[in-house]
Amino acid sequence: MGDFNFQLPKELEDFRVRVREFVRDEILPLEKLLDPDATRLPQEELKKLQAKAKEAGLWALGAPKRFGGQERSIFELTLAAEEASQHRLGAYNPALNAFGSEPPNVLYEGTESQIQKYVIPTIEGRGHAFMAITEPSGGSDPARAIRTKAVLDGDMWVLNGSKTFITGVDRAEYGVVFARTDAGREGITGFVVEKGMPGFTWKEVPVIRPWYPCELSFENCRVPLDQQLGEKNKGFRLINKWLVRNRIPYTAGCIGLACAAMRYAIPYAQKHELNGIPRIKNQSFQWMLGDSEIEIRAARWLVWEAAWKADRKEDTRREASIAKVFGTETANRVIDRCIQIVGLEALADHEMPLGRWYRELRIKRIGEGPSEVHRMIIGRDYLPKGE
Amino acid sequence: MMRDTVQRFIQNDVIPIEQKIGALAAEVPHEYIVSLQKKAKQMGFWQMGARPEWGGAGLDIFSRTVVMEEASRHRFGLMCPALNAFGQEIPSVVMKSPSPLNEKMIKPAVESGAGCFLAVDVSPNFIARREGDNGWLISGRQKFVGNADKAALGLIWAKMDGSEEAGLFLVENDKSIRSTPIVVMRTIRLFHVSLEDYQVPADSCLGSGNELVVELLQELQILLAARCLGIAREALRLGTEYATQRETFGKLLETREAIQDMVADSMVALESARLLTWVTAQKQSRGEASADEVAMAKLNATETAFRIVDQMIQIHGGMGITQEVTLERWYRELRLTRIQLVPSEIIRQRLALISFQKYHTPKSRP
Repeated sequence: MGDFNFQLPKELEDFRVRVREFVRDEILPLEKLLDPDATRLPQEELKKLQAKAKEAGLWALGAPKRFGGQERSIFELTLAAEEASQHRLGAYNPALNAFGSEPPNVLYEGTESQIQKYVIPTIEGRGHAFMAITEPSGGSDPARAIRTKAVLDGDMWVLNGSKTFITGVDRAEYGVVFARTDAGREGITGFVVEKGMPGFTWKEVPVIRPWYPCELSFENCRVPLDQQLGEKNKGFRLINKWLVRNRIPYTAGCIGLACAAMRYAIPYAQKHELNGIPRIKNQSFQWMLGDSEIEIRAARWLVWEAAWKADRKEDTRREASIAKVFGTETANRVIDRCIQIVGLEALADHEMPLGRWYRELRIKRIGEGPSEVHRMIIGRDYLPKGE
Repeated sequence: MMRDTVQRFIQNDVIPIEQKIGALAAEVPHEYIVSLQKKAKQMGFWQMGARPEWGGAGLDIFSRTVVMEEASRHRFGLMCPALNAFGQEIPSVVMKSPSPLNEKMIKPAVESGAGCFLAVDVSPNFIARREGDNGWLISGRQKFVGNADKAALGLIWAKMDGSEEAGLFLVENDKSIRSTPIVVMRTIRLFHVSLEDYQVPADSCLGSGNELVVELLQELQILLAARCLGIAREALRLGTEYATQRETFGKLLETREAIQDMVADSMVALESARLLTWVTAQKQSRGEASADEVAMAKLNATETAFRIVDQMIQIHGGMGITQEVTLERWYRELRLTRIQLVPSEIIRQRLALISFQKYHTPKSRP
């Protein structure tokens, strides 16, 4: 059987445990002081927390070494993501941002001045970025849906159009915006846009989760030529680079939330009765927990397989889609069952985070490509060649 | 006919108010509700279940079920059908109470439309002790009670001290009943109701034994089923409409077979749920429905509505989770309905046990 086994190497296991313990010891106590619908830690607290993370060797996990990061593999980032989500704010603010935020990976291909101006400060914890792809005309299909236009006027690009469902604009200083510079798939270009640039406005879009994404509007927004990212008309490849990188850890975060939900439901079911018998002895609930355990384990293997292949630079489009559908749908089923086991108590905002996770996880079946698009990606491989 | 009239009322009077206050409004300003109530009263739509001589519409449970589905077909419809235009429901068991209470408590509550909170659970959370010959002292607490801040009346299910039985007590919702708000699923305000030696007169006990509570739960469950049908219908309407407008990968969603499946399955599920609800409500009106038949309708309607809203969100993609589209609100609110009144698991267990019992009777073929 060679050296194939189902055990993480010690080094990876240690790394995983380090993240787990950081969440348990540093994040969970801090969260008790926050509003149940809080979206982030106050700046002052965050600085202290980030200092602790640096000390624990948990800083800039994914960023390239040449820019001061740890350049961890996708597999390691996947392990970290499953642990870092396991707290109240963890669905969209893993580890409360203790490990710092990475600039969009597409910026690593930027010019030297872009690296100095944006990449380095962000990795050092002095900035945040957003990534703007989706438009009101659709998010599943960026090659067709991008209608925001960029037209060259002297040494300036002039942007007109709008973006929507963009996360993190409120806390960011800048972001990467993709706009149409020509027709078709090979007609999209990326631009680094700063929040203060005239003609660029944004507002929040209230949604089911507490941290609202934003709608961006560009009205004759003039962007200097040197803010263009990469080659003209080569933006679609950058979009894919970004999407592929995020899909796998994104799913791992959902699995983490499912595990955390189980940790609420099981002790509750042990202590509380329904109709005169402990909930844990009710076979309906037992099976819900059993099914959840099965599906969480299966989802984890799928995510690990995708991450492992990605690190081997294999084509992981199918594996990432398979893991994404199963992982996000599993997490939704698990949270739904955990709520059913606990009852109304689970939904009281001040008592448990289950209601919050239920709302946030619902987005995960749509964000990063809805389940239907991923099923399409998986299923279309069965078409006869050439169709 | 009544169904059509309520449908028009929702369309012409309720929905414009919701549009005016905007999708993000947390609640409807009081003056809008007052004017809606005035209009509804003029149309004869007031307190659907209350006796006509008290100013109620006096409808039977089947008619109320049909009307309730229509009254729920709007943004706030699940939690606040018709924006309370017809007044908050007062359960039928209250209407049947002994006469001294009628004049003093019930009639004014019917007139005001402020409703009645229900501190009734799978088992009683309160204890009633006899206080001399003519009264009771009630103590206890219950979480997740709706309308406990504004209701004129309250129904409390309490174990009677010194007896195996529990009684259903009708109380006035005055200041000595403490209600602390609990926010559930971000926008739903429920209450923690607590009483300590709350004194009530002897005739406030509407009856003892399980019968009244069973009757109460039947009424609440069938009306909840009706509300879920209304929401499911609205959700399906929104999802179907969206599929005819939205294009992805160069094709309208309506042309995709997987989307067609979602819409078709939802149609089948909704029609089936309505049939079961209506048949059950008709039996209830004739006094022939068993507790388990009603629970079956509740189980089916709540779970069906939940699945339909979930699928319609999926059809909407990102738009489905915005507050502007309302599906997200129903997705949150409906999650309570599978637990409220009687949780789905308890219903399933009871249905199965009743079915098994038939096989324990020798020489019968169920």
